[in-house]
Amino acid sequence: MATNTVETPAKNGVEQEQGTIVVSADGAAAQNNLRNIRLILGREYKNRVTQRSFIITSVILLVIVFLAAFIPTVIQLVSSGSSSSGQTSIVVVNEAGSVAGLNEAELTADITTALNGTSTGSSAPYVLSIQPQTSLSTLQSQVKDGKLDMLLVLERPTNQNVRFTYYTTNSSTNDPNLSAIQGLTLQLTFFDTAHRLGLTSSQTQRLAAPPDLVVVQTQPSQTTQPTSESAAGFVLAFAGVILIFISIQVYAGIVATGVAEEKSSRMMEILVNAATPFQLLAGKIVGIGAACLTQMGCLVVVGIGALLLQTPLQAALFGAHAGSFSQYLTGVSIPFYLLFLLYFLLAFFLYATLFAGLASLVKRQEEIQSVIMLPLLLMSSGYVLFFFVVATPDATVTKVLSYIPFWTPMWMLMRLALGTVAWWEIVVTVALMLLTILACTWFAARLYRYGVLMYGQKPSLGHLLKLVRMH
Amino acid sequence: MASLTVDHITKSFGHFQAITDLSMEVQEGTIFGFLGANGAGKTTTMRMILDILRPDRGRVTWNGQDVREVPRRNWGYLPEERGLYPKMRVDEQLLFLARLNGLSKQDAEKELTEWLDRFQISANRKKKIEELSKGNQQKVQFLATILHDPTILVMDEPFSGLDPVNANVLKEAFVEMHRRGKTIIFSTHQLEQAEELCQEIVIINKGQSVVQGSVREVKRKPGRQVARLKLDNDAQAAWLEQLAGVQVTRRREDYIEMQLPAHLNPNVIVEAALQHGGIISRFEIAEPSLTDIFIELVGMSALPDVPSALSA
Repeated sequence: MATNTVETPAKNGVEQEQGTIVVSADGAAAQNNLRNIRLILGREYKNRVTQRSFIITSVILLVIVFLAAFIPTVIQLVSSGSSSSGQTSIVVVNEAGSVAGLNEAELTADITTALNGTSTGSSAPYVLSIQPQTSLSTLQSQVKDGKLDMLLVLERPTNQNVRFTYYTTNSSTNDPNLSAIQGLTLQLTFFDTAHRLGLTSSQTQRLAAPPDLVVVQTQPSQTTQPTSESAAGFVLAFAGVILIFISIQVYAGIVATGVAEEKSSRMMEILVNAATPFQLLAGKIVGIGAACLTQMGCLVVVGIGALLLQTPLQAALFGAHAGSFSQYLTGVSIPFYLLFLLYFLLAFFLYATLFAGLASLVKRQEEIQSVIMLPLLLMSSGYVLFFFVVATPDATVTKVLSYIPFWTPMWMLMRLALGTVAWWEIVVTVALMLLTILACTWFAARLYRYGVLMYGQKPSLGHLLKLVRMH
Repeated sequence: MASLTVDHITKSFGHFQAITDLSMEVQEGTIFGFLGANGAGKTTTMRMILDILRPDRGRVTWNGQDVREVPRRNWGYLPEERGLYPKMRVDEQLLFLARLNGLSKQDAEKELTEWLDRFQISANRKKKIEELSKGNQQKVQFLATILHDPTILVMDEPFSGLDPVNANVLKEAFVEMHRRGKTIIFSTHQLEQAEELCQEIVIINKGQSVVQGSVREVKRKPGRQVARLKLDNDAQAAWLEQLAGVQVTRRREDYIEMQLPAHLNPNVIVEAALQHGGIISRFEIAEPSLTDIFIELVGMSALPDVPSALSA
C-alpha cells in the first residue's frame, strides 16, 4: 500500500503550537493531489452549469448582450428617421437685397456650398430653396407645424449689417443645425462687411485666408493612432473595466457562496476526511472558474457575432452613411483581447481565492457579505479611482498605481486601450499578480483549514493573524 | 492481532483542555463503543483518530503505523453533523465521494448498485437528496461512509435522529460490516445501543477516560449488584430505604430497582420482605445497565442531554 503523506498536511486546531507539517512530494501523493482536484473541480463544474439558476441567468445575459449590440444601430436609425428623406430642408427668404455684392443666383450657390460643402444631390445634408418674402408668414407657420425644418430670413436695416433670423422647432441646446447656420451667417456677414468697406475681391480673399497653424502632437501614441482607433479604445477600455469589475464580483461571489454552502450543509465534514483543504480549495476555485469562463465565453462569442451583424445591417439601412462597427473590433488588435482574457483570469483567481478563504469562516451564507467586505472594498476603490485617471492614461501616478496587483487588471486594461504600455510592464504586472495570488492561496488555505470545521464564534482579526502566522 | 491504538493523547483549544491523557485500544474486527456526555470530547477524539486534528501530545496508530500515513481510503467517517449536497443526485453524489476516497469509477458503480439494493433504495437512485425522506437520507449518508469499502469505520452518533425502524436498518448494516471483518468505532450516548452492539467500550468524561474494557468487565466494575423486587401487596415497600447497604435507584410500575454492595447476600432483601408480610411476585438479580454504570461513574451532573456549556 502506497503511503500518502501529502494527503494530510497539518490540519491543526488554531492554538496548536507544536504540530508538524508533513511535507512530502513523492509521485504517488502528487498524482493523488491532481486526481482529487480533478474530481472536485469536475463536480463543481457540472454542478454549476446544470444548475437552473445558472442556466437562466446565462440565457438572460445572452439576450441582453445580443440586444445591446443593436443599440447604436437603433439610435442611428431613430435619429436619422426624424427627417423622412434623411435630408434637412431649409428655406431662405432674402429681404436684404444684395448681400456682399452677390446676385440671387450667386448667393444661392454660396449658401449651398457653405451648408453642404462638396456633397451634392441626395447625399447632401441640406436641401435649399429661396422663396419670395410675400410667403413669409406661411413659411413661419410651416416651421411651427413641423412641415418645414428650417427657415432663414435675411434683412438689412439701413446702412447696417445683415440681420439673420433663424426659425426652427429644435430647442437651442439640442439643435444639430445651429452650428451650420452660425458658420453660414458668420461667413456671409464677413463678406458683406468687406464688400461695404469697399475691399476688392482679392483683398477679401486675403483677409479670409486661413491662419498658418501647424499642430505637433508630442505623444507618439496619439500621432500614430487614428482617431477611430482611439475612440474604439475608449469604448473597449470602459467596457472591459466594467465587465471585469462586475463579473469578478459575481464570480468570486459564487465561489464564496459555494464554500459557505458546503460548510452549512456540513458536507465539509465528509470531504475533509477524503481530501486535503488545499485540494478542496483549488478544486472549487478552478471548477467554478471554468463554469464562469464558459458563461463568459458564450457571452463574448454572441456579443462579437451580434456586433459583426451590425455592419451589413447598417449598410442595408443607411447606405453610405453607415459607420463601421467592425472597425471597433479590429481597430484594437488581437493582443488586447488576449491580454484582457489573461488579466480577467488573474483577477478571478486573486479575488476568488481571497473570497473562498474568508467565506470558510462563516457559519451561514448570510454572513458572507460581512467577511468579504475588505477585498470588495479594495476592488471598488480601484474601480472608482479608475474614473479619475481615465483621462490621463499615461500619467506617472496612473502607471505607478496600475502596479498594485488588486487594481492591475482594470488599470492595465485602460492603459492598454488608451495609452502606451511597454511589454515589460505587462510581464512585471503579471508576475506581481501571480506572486500575490500565490500569497493569497497560502493565506486562504490556512484560513480554510481552520475555518471549515469551525462553527463557533467568528474569530477576531488578531486571532486570524495568529492563525496565519502559525508555522 | 491488529489494532487501533490511541496512546496518551492530549488536546487543548486555547485555554480549554478538550482531551487529557486519553488512551484506548480497539481490536481489529470489533465494534467499539465510545460513550460520553455532550462535550465529553468524543468528536474531538474521533477527529484525531481520523487525522483531521492532530493531538498536542501522544499519538494514534493503526497496526503500529501513524494514522497520518494510513491511506485515506481505509477510513470511513460518518460525521455527527450529517451533510450531503442537497441538490445533487444520489448516485452522482455517492460516486463522487467513493471516487474521491480512491475507488475507480467501475468499482464505485458496482458497489453502489449492490448497496442501494441492500438498503432497498434503488428506486431513489436518480433522485436529488433533498427529495428523499429523512430515513432514506440517513441511509445515503451511511452509504457515503462505507461505499469505498474502508477497513475502519468511525461513526459519530450514528443513531441520533433515527426512528426505530431506520435504527434497525442501521444496526443490521453494522452487523453486516462486522461480519465482513471491519473495525467499527462509534460514539453514542444511547447506552442501550452500545450494550446491544459492542464488544468493547470506553466511557469518557471531560476528556478523560473513566472506564474501559469489555461490556462484561465494565458491568462488573462498580462492584455492585442490582436487584429488582415486586411485592403484590406493598407497591412502595418503604422499609427498603432503612435496609443497611441497600440503595433504591428506581421505582417503576412493575418493579423497584435497588443496588447493593457485592459482598451483601441478596437474601437479606427477601428475608426483610417476608418479615414485612410482603407477597413477593418478582425478585431477580440483574446486571447493572450501562446507564447505571454511567451514572455511577460519571455522576448525575454529566448525564446525557444535560445542557452543557461546552461543545464537543
